[in-house]
Amino acid sequence: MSLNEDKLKNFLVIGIGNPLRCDDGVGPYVADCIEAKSLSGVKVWITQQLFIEDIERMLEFKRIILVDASTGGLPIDFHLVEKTQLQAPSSSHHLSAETFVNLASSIYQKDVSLSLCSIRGSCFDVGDKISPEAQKNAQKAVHLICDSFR
Amino acid sequence: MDSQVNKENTILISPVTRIEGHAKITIDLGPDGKVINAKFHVNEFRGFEKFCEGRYFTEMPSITPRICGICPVSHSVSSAKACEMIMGIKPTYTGDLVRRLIHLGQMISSHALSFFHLSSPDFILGWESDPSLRNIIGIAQKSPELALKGIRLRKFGQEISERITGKKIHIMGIVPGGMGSALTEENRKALLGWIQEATETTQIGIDLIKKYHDQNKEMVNTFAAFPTLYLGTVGPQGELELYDGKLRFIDENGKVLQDQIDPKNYLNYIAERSIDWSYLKYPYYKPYGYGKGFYRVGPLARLNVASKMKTPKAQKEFLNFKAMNNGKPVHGTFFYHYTRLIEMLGSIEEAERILKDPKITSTDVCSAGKHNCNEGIGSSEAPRGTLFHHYNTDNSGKLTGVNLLIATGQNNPAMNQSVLEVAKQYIQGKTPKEGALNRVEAAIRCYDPCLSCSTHAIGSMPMIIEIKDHTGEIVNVLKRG
Repeated sequence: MSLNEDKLKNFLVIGIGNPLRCDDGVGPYVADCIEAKSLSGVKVWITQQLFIEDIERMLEFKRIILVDASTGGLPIDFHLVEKTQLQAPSSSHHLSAETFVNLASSIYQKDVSLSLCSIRGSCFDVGDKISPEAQKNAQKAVHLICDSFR
Repeated sequence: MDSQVNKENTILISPVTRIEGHAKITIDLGPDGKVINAKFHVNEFRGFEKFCEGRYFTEMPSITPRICGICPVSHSVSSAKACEMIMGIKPTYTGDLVRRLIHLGQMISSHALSFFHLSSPDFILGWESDPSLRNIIGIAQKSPELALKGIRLRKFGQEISERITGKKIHIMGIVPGGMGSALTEENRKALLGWIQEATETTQIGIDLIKKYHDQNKEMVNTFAAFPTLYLGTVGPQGELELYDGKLRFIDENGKVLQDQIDPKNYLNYIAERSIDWSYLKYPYYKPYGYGKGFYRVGPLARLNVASKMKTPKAQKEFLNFKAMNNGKPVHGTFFYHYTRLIEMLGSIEEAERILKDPKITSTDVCSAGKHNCNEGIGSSEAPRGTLFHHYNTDNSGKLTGVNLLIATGQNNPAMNQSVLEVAKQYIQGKTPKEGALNRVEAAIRCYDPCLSCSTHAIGSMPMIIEIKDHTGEIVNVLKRG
């Protein structure tokens, strides 16, 4: 990925997860599906975790969509992340979407448009296969996310 | 911090925060409510050494960075060196240089994280401040400019790795014989563009900690200050060396016990003993035996051990550090922070020198070789201290034995002593104030331990503190996570 190239993009889709833990890889799977569509103005990243340092690069984008696996709740939960009261990261290894929005505001004085798309998985064992249920949810999520670009 | 007190008399703090890994502390009280003992327990186990057996040895520089997201480069470097001993080869000049550069990047990234993200909230916001904000979030609120500088400094360190290997963490590309990829001219220029800002930010950190020292002399000088031996890697003239060199042990008075020891002979000088209350072993300097032979590694140890620094700005601060105890070792654990910043300054200077080396963008980055003998040992200075990788293979090159001696493990006896010293100083009775417990945690934080490395464990690092009465009953349990 060229660091300068990112600045031209309007939308950033970040697939988060470990593809070697079955449905935990559903975020990267969705990101791959969206990248395969070669949509104009859409950039895709895949990562296993978010870092505070990533905020600066993300601020270059008009809108950011995080795609991550969830272990419960709705099959797909796609919503805008609101700025809430600042919460401490539990460790340097983890940064929540809410913390990201808050840090962008407090450190960079910028409000970011960040959405979170959680996709329910059912199997998080070691392995590189996504379960049929998560795949079905992932395909719906791809459509929802692509529709949101319009 | 959550806290629970039972009818007996033990405090448990859990989880220990702003460190890398998972741990708990128990504090034992005497009949008069005074602290008589304290222990730092590491209750995770991962078993990297065991499950790597059977793998082909050249896979190790790619497998072992997965041990840790903070110091993957040190694991990969030590691993590649062990492989090179097995193959009987040396990396090319440029391969070696690029490795040094990535290693310095990791040092910058890790030290910036430790100081600006994890430890500075105690100095800037106060020991007694709201624990929910005593972190990078609180710094972002109180001093957004400083928070941004700290974040960008870490970003610089990570960008070195990313621009060379394509990855910020769990890097790939360090291979036996050198590197799998070269540094491009575009990336060389981009990295050079960071040097001034990184130097200025580190200097701000140094000014900050020195000001804190001046304003809190009593606390700083007495905070877990106790004599130990020290181990570090040095160059031929005794200069501090982070990437490659020979081992030097000094005693508590600064007398050199061993010098210019080839790391492959480490087992002649270091032994380990298992203890029944932690997965972290107790290493010690073999000639002095268990107990008397406890030693420390990491930034404080390295600067105590070294005769000089390799770069001018770091050398200037080094002289200031050495003057603190008239050239004798500085034993105060709090000085890990200052020495960490001095190392970071030197790392930035050295990175600039390497980036200006005309051969840094050469594509001659790797030499070839094959399985040549059945044993290899490699070492480097990880951010937290000296790291050893020791492999044995069968005749086909499959690993039959793996020993990883990790920096945090070597600091384990000292971390326990530090917890005891600070607990004795600040805790009285079974319901200590939160600020006192934070100081106990801070004693561990000085070492910037990485328990994922040292036990090869996985997961976040909550901390528990238990306080026990003189009968051994738990009277208070405090948890945070």
